[in-house]
Amino acid sequence: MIARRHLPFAVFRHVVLAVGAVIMLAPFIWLLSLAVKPADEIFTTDIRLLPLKWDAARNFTEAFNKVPLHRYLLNGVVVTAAIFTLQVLVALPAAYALAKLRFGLAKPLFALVLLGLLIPGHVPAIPHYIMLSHAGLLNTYPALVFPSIISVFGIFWIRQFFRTVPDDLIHAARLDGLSEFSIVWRIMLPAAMPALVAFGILSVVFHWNDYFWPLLVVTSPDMAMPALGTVYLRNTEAGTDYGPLMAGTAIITAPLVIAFLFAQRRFIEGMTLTGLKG
Amino acid sequence: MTSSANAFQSGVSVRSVSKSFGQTRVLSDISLEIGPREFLTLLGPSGCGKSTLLRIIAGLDHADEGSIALGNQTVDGLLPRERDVAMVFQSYALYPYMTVAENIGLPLLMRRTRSWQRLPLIRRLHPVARAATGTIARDVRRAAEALQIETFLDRKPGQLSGGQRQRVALARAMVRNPRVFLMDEPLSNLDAKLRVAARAEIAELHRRSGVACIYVTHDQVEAMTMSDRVAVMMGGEVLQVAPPAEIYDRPAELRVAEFVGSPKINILPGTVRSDGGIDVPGGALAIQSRLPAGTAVSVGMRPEHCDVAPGLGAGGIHGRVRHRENLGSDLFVHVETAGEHRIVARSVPEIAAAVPPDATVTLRPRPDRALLFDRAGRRL
Ligand SMILES: Nc1ncnc2c1ncn2[C@@H]1O[C@H](COP(=O)(O)OP(=O)(O)O)[C@@H](O)[C@H]1O
Ligand SMILES: [Mg+2]
Repeated sequence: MIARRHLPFAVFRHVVLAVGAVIMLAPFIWLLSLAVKPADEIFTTDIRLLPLKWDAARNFTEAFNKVPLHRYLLNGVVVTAAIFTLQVLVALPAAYALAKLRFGLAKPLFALVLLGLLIPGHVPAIPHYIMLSHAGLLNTYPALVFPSIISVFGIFWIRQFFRTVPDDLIHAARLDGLSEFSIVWRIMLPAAMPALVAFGILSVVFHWNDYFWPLLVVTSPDMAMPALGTVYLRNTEAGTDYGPLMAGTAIITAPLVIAFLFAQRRFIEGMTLTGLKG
Repeated sequence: MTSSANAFQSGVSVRSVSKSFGQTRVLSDISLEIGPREFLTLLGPSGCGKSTLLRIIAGLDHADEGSIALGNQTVDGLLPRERDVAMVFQSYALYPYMTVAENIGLPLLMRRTRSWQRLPLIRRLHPVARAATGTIARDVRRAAEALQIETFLDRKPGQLSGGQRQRVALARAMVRNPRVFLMDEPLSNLDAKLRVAARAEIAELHRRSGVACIYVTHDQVEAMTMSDRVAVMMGGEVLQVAPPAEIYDRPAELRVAEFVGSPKINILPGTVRSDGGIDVPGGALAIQSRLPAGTAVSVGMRPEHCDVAPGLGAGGIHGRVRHRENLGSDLFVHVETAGEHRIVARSVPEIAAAVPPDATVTLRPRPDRALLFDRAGRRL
């Protein structure tokens, strides 16, 4: 009913969205297109999406031969998984304490969390770097993981979610014999799943694509994270061989895209829950 | 559920408990003694501090002053889980991500196993942990059978109706044979029919368990029908503690008299005459009070203690019918007397035709049932 009455508007809306989608997707489509073309077709004046001669196999093998792409992917998985796990281990109890426990420092501590939200992640980068350097940990997994363990955003986020959990549930758990830590893991963790999924998506996407911090602490290619890896790939032949470069970039973006396609509904649920909507 | 598990059974003592939230005083100097097998109801309007008192007894909140004892043990320093009390919440507070069986079994699991025995793999392999899992399953089933929810054990709370959830909450409270049951308006989320059935059932379960129970409600019918004794609370104070019949027949205060009984008790201002009778608007009460002449009192008359007769008779209170409610079994006649005071009288439907609206009638309160209160609201 509503749709029919507002038909002109609906058409208009879809046109606008479609144009937006094309503009957003064009670079990726172009990237995929280049990834399957032979070198001599890349620098032609006519624009065509599909190649005359398919050269996907060569581009993709070249990409893997030039740099250890699989290693970047592995690093990406290990580091993002470690970061997210540790973030949850820190954020859940902290969020629980801030949301549900009454203690003298609750307010000032929460104010500190809010303050932490205002500080860009790049600000403590140099101190972190110096600390890691003194500890002799540069160019290791711990160096990639350590600065991100405490996510003030994660704490804030989950705390806001915990505020909506009824106090009676926690009271019941206390009477049933659960310690405060058991309450966090047995009662609050399952309740916080939607918030955790949303946070997990943001965390993994951010750290998978992070270029700045790996650039600082990684000195050898075998420690590179995916985003940094594409740069290594470009540097190997001074960026002349676009086919393999695009193929490598496609592979590095692929895991996130595939994960998105599989978990699309959760993804969107999580995003709407956050109120960020994109 | 067996009596063997509770070798010693205990009552509850609430000793001069006070509590404020910021500037608001929510409980002032509450003292209560609950017997070892007693069913005591805290009855009061919402916001009077009932839940707060229950939380303090459970150890979920702390009193500013005063102390709580279970049996002869003071429990003020004990954590909720160490007090061994079980609570049923108004919202039921079931764990939404656990099945019914896990909900009921959790208090047993936490008490009968150590934390390392609850780790996923060990729980399945370690002999002690496995044995505990077995006995827990057995006890859960027994509790579920007592409440006829054994067919829902594998469901999640979200898949159950309100009445079924309420039973799960009861089962979770009963499964571990606590020292005391605390129930915070457990029936208020049920529809009227279910509530009547659940009233009887809770009273019955309490009798069988033989454990003290403190039951919170704002519903006077629940209080009157289920309790051994009722504590009427208002504004953070306990006004009267007595068996239901006594609360009803001999309320200690005007506020208690007004809170208990439906329709509400009729209150008229009155003055004591020199012969001991009492003048009220529209007439007089033929009673023999021993109060000095001229004393101002409030006279309370319950609707069922006021007879209605058509016409202007001698004595009694005269008035005009304003409204009638015929419930089939009873007829409530709303009468307006001099000074626009309203009195509701209970009569039988047969006289409905004789007392049409605007008819003049004579009310004759039963002198022996009239309640007199002084200016401050105390019963005389
Ligand atoms: N945690 C709290 N903080 C502030 N005020 C509270 C808190 N809990 C209860 N109160 C206040 O205390 C009063 C009594 O509450 P409660 O014990 O829940 O009443 P009841 O259960 O009789 O309805 C209410 O006025 C309520 O607003
Ligand atoms: Mg309450």
